[in-house]
Amino acid sequence: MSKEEFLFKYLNSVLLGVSQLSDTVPMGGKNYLEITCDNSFEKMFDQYKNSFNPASNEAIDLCRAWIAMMEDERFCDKNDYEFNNEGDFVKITVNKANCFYNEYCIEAREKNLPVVCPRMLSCRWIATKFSGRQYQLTTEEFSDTNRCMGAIYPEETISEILSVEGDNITFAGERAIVLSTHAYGILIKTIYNYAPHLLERVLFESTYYSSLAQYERIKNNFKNNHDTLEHLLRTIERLGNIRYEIVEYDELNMRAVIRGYNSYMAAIFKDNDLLNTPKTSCASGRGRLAAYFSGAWGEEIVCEEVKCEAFGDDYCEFILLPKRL
Amino acid sequence: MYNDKTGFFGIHGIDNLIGEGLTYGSQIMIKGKSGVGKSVLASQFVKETMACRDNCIYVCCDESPKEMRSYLKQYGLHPLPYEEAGRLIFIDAYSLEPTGKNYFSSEDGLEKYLSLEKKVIENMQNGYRTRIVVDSLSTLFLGRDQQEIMEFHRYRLKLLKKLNIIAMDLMVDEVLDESMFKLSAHLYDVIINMYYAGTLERPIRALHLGKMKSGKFDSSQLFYSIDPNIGLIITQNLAS
Repeated sequence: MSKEEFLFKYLNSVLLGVSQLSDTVPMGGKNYLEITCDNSFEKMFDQYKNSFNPASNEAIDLCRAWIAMMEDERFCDKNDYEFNNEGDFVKITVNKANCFYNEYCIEAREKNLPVVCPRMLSCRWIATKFSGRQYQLTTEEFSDTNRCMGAIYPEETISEILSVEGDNITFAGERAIVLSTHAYGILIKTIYNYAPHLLERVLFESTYYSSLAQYERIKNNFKNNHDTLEHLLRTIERLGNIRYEIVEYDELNMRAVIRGYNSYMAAIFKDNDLLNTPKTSCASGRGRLAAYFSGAWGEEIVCEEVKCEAFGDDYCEFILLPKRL
Repeated sequence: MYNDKTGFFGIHGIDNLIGEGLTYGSQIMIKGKSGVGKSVLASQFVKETMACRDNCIYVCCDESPKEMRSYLKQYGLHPLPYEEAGRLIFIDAYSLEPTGKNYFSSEDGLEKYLSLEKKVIENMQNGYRTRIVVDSLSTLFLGRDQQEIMEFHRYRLKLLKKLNIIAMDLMVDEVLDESMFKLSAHLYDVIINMYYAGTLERPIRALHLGKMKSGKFDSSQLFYSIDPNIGLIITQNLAS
């Protein structure tokens, strides 16, 4: 094995390691991976920027200049890339045959880990850095053909990783705190002790309004309501609150059935003696889903919990429907 | 304490007083003047019933099922999914014209009512326990003679007890005379009397809870307010 081959193998292993890590850290996932890669692109760019000569600050020219710069350093062959403008989109086609990220890409997909294409992602990064607009990357389903396809398009970046900034932890740009379920359980129990009649309302409304704000922040980043909702539900899952599954989704008739697994709220109700009899307990889960779906479907949607882990069911089940019905 | 053998009202303050809860087959009378909050209490009871995954039959005598549905929504329960699942059934004993198979005309005899109630209970065989709310039973008794009422009353409550159904019967003070209440009262396990206390200028809502048969707990007076989103909130416990 040549030194170059060894280094490429090592690079693939490092990327795979980061994918594995990003899958396990709270709010990690693809976003975490993208930020890791963006930091490495910045480092590379700083070292070779003298040979970066874009024809303009248009995204397509920036991408071409970036690849040309990399070719100058013999890091890639610009003939492996094809860029085409389609409206605001810059379509990217990459020849897979010469891709030295193949090993990482294939293994990460096989293991169902978060995966990004560093070659196309670097185009998003350079376009965002110099065009004055933020770009997102969308890639087509990985296939057996010899080409990978994707596109970058102007859109706000969703920053939702949990990170440390100075003395604080931040989440989506806001200061965050990490609370153990034990500590949160004590908070809930205290509300219950002093104002038991308010507990359900407090849990429902506080989650409803914070979730509505969360929906508003990201609603323009996805091409349809279903994708937006999927993203929001995955975010909650990555925070370790509850794993959601969309069982039924009928946007036309405004009806959905969502299942939730490993609900922290059901566990808190059971563990803190908050139930005098088994009953559905996920008021915050109802508030969250009611807010997301009200935002997405543009009218007041209510959420009924018809099954609950606190009841001993295998999962919590929520039905979403318009309040007017 | 976690208990899956008994049921509760879903109203803190009242639930505290009934200790380990109501056994299935218990009978509750809710008595009070119009507007004092009986139907609000019943709405919270239905919400609790759905949360505990029991069935509920709601007999609407003083308002239409449509109005009752909007009450339930106001207090945080959308009835539709439960109606679709066959867990919540409204009997319409309010409308002047038939509105469907679960319709009872006030012109029909109480025997016909019994047969309809029985049929609805039988059709709810889905493995869940059942509760029934009649809002209000006193309306069903209007214009009927005392003997017919008492015979109906005894038979019906015995049947519901045998079927392990928690029954909540609402009674409006002005509708029946006091002697009828006294005669009926001993048939119930729990009586909640809701009334206005305080002065004429500043009326305060209060309720008095008593268990007539077993004597497991004492009568207690509770003050309460009605929140438009939550329902009854017990504000002060003056339990003796």
